[in-house]
Amino acid sequence: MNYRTATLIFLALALLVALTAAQTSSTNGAAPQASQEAVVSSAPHAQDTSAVHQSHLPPNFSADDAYKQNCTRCHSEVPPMSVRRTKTVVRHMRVRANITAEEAEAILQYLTQ
Amino acid sequence: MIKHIVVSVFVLLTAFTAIAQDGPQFKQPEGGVPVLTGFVGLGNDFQSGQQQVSPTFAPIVLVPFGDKWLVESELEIEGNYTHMTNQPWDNQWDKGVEYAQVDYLANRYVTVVGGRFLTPFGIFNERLHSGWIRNVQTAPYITAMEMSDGTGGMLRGGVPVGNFLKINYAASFSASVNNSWVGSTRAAGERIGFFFPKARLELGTSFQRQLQDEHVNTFGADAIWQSNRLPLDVRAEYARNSIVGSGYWVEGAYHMTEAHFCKPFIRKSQTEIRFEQFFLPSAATMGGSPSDMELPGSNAKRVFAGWSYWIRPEVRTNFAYGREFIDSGDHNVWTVGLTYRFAFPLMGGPK
Repeated sequence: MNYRTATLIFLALALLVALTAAQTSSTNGAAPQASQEAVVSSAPHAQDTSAVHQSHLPPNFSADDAYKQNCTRCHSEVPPMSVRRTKTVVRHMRVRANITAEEAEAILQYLTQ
Repeated sequence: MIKHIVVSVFVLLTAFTAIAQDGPQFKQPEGGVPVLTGFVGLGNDFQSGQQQVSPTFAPIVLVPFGDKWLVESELEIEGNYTHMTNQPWDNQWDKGVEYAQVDYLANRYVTVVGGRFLTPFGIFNERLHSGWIRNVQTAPYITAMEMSDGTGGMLRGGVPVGNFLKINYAASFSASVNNSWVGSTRAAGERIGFFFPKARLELGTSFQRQLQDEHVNTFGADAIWQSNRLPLDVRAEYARNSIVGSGYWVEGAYHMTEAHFCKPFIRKSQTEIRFEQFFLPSAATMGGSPSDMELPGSNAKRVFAGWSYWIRPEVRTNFAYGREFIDSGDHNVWTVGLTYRFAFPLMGGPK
């Protein structure tokens, strides 16, 4: 792979991300507000959210399990934060720790309850 | 190369602007807020005839957009004040962008990353390099032979396989960038991990191929195990590069949350031990490590025993005693560290 190929791949990746962004923008134009509110309002109610995504989580999987299985593998202590800051940090950790969407949501519940 | 990057950034910014014009997706009245997090630390390293003081400031900016986007960046500024016996203090400051990336959460199992990122090799670089996370302040030998940063693109995510296994993966491509703040090597690499939830065991393998100058492969393996019965963590990592060498580290940490004496004090403490070895390659393959790799010049091994205490959940102190066994002379290493992890909202108020 030469220098030119590498830069073209980088450019292609940027275009791919941009196109995906545009698609997300057009398809979610009306929906995001509703779905976002659903996530936030469910944060203090673990059972509600787990019911929504139950099909993607193991049976009897709790927010406590999600925290212990993912966070404590690297963190000895997780300082408490406000809900909205926690939500941002959990998204950061979803990327860094390769956590699925459902696990991230369960961890958010654990940290904000 | 610069031209392509400028075009790419322009395309990304145009796309973000298009999304912003949709309105409500960016306002996020109930969602996450932009956060300034990171840590401030002060490390002290004492060896025979030498003392090193290392203040570190590593701010991280996290900016979420809508439900699927995150822009994140970490800047690290580290000073090294060194004092040798009978010599004046010498100091040097290193600064650089650890990562500056755009993340797109494509679906529940796939995230697309573009920009500058921490190389997904092993477990230390991506997960444990921050001063407020690592148990022993001194980084293991083998982290110097792994490329720490890349500039390009990456796909990553996690996929559950039934109840007993979760696979996590990351595959990256990095371009060559020559810049004192964001330098990187042209390379491709991947890491795949297998996590067994019931056993709380993760096993991972990594591969990295350098695609400039001398093409060379680096292989790695790692493991994390947490006891179900005790607050005990065990981590280990191995890396092998045919030109610069090979090595491993094994670390155990016991968090004393179940102590029955001096509870207010002891239960905020953790004891740690690490053992590591580094091996130079055989004479037939030895190519010499680049001068910027802080690797031992001979086979070496080192052991640390440490103690951490959390003054508050976000303030951690570390003390460690170590001994290094190396051809240039065995010696003791003492380290003392203090880290403060902060997280402030950049907008949206305290809640």
